[in-house]
Amino acid sequence: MKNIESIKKNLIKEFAKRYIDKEVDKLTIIELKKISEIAEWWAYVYTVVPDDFSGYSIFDFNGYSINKKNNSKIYAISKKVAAIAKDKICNYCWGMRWQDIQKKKEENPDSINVFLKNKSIMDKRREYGNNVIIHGQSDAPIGRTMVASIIMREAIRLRVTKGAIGDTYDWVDYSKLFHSIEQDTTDLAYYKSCDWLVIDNIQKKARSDKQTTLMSDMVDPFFWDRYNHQQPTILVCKFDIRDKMFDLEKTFGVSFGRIIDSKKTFNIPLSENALGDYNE
Amino acid sequence: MSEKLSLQEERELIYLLLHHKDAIDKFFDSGLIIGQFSEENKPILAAILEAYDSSGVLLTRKSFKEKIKLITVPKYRISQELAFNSCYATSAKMDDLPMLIQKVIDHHIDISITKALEDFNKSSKQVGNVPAIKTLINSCDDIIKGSAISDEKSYYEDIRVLSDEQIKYIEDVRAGRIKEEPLILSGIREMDYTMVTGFEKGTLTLICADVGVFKSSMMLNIGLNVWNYGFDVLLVPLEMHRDQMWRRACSREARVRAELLTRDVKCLTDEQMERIIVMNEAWKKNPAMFYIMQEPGNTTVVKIQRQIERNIEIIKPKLVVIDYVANLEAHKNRYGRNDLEIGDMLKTMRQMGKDLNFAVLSAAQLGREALKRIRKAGGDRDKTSINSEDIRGSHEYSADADNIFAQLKSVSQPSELLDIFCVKSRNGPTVFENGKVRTTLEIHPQYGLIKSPTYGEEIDSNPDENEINKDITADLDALMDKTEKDGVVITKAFEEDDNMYNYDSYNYDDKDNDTSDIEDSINDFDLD
Repeated sequence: MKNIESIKKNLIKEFAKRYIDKEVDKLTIIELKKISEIAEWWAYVYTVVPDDFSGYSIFDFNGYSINKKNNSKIYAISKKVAAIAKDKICNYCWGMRWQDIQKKKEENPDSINVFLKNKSIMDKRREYGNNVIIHGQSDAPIGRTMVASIIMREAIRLRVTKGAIGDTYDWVDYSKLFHSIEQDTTDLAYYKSCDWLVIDNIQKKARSDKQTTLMSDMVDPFFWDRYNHQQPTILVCKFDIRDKMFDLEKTFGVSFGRIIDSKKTFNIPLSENALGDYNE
Repeated sequence: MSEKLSLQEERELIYLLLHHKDAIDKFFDSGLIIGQFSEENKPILAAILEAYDSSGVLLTRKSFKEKIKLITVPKYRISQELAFNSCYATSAKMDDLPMLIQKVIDHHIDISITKALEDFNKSSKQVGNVPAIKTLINSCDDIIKGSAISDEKSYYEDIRVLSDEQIKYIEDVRAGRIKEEPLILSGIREMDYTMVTGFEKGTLTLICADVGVFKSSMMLNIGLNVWNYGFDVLLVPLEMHRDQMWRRACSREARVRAELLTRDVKCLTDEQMERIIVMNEAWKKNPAMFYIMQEPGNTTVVKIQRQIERNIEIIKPKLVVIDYVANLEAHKNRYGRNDLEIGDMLKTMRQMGKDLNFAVLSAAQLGREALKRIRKAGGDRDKTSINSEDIRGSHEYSADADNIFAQLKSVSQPSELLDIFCVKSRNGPTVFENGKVRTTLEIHPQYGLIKSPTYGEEIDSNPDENEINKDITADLDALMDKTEKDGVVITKAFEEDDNMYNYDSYNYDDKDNDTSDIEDSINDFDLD
């Protein structure tokens, strides 16, 4: 977790000017407090969520991107996959179906953000330790990190909506996490203890049996730790967890398998193959 | 010896103490203590010793009058003035000093032995002669050694007797016959949760942290909170001058930036000055006392004890804040063994707290390795223990303390948030209300203010802002909405297509995630 204070300070300055039309030192205590809370939320979002993903909300996730040359849609995932993923995200963050949120937005587009803020059940997700696994076999961008960023953004929002100022967040690539475990760095303590953690780019690589066993033995206690302490972890896998040819527990440890099989874990498939039961 | 005669001898002795500095030195050497004097003379003696201790001067009528001005009940004030006049009007010679000291000691022994014999008479009927004689022998031994200072007797009794007493107390409280003793709370919700007995007499609470991690601020904050709750507090700042301490307290209470009080006094606005005056008025109205004690030389535990005993009529501290124990001078020579000296001080302080009815709050520096270990342990309760070698200065800290809290600056907001870890709690849970060993507090370094996080309507603790606070949640929503709509940073990669999804046609059921419990709970508070 990085220090957010300088970003927060800059945002306070910017928001004060933009929304209250005052210099920071001219703000009243209450104005400063309001501005600070929103600035803090954004500062965490910018610091934790990777660049280019920090601004996305559920309304930005549609499964396609725009080709800027001819303004055409480039579908990264099928409509069905995107719809299911969207519904899952809504269920996780607000305990609602996408259709209901969409309906609400149509009825009153101006108040949709406030509506979602009030409907948020992220505090309960944190309390129950609901993990998320986002997965799909593809080397191309299919929105895995984007989905994780939408969820993380909602988790950070709890600071403002529920006063969860003690919450901590981190975002780490699997390879960096593994390095931290290997070297027992100070960062590892933060990954272990933070309330919300995204582990991005979890990949399967060809390794010898010995190497695989060694690696899984090393990461296994880490996943156990987070699982047992009910700290929500968002796992972003660049493979399909339903691939029967791939032994997950052997590669990432028994605890990884336990997280995936847990009823408390939200499974968000982002490829046709990964849909599994939904295809039946 | 008749009461009248002994009172006259006390007055003569006090007369000498009012007129000769040598007499005061000899008084200290004699081992006589204030507790051995009659009730009416105790405050005069306390004032004499305080004047000598703090300024090296003799007590005058004028300064005594000034001192007793603080007593709000006129009856007591007048009786003390009369007692002082009686002492002042007496006459004695310096050559009589040893005899007078001996007379006072003898009189105290007379009283103590009479009381011990009365107790013997009573207990011999209850428990038999042999145990009663043994108790009498112990009492006589204490009287000879001069250790019978405390009114509290040693306790040696069957648990069932204690049980009857305790149950009677509970029943009386439940029936409303007696009032429950109020808990002395720290004012920091999270800490109070783990310290179920509050600052109970005879307890020691330690704040452990690295250098510059708000140890003194935390102690001052708790001290001021306890005072605001109506309990007497004694603050012993050993690192800072009292002026600096006052500026900190003022900055916190009046919400005026500390540097304005230190170096930019002329920059204080009228509004800020007004807040300081309002704060001062509020302090004056507080019936409880907040005393600061600073000795000209090094402060020892014995000096603290002496001051408390002397001023017990004016202030009965419920909390003694020492910033911090390692800076006290040892009262027993341990030949360079600092750890043993600290141990002695801690034990004496705790005992003193039990005898004089106060709790002790202090701080200690924590080794970096321990801090690292606490941080690394994260949510793991078992790994946050502090070993005796972790606290710098003495291994006695961890054993003697009833509550230990470790403080670390937040990694993401080091100057605005403070992470608190509950390391030890003798009487309560060792996890905070959130079920974790860690919780987070707000710091406002500009005011030296540390407090529980505020949220919603509590957003500002200043009651004057309550009107504005009413709309704060709505304002926050609107502001958050604006920042989102403005898209503060965003370059969109995916764009919305409203007609794209009609998921019903996919005929899927989210059977993986059984979240009925959450769904039920959200139905209960539909905020739409």
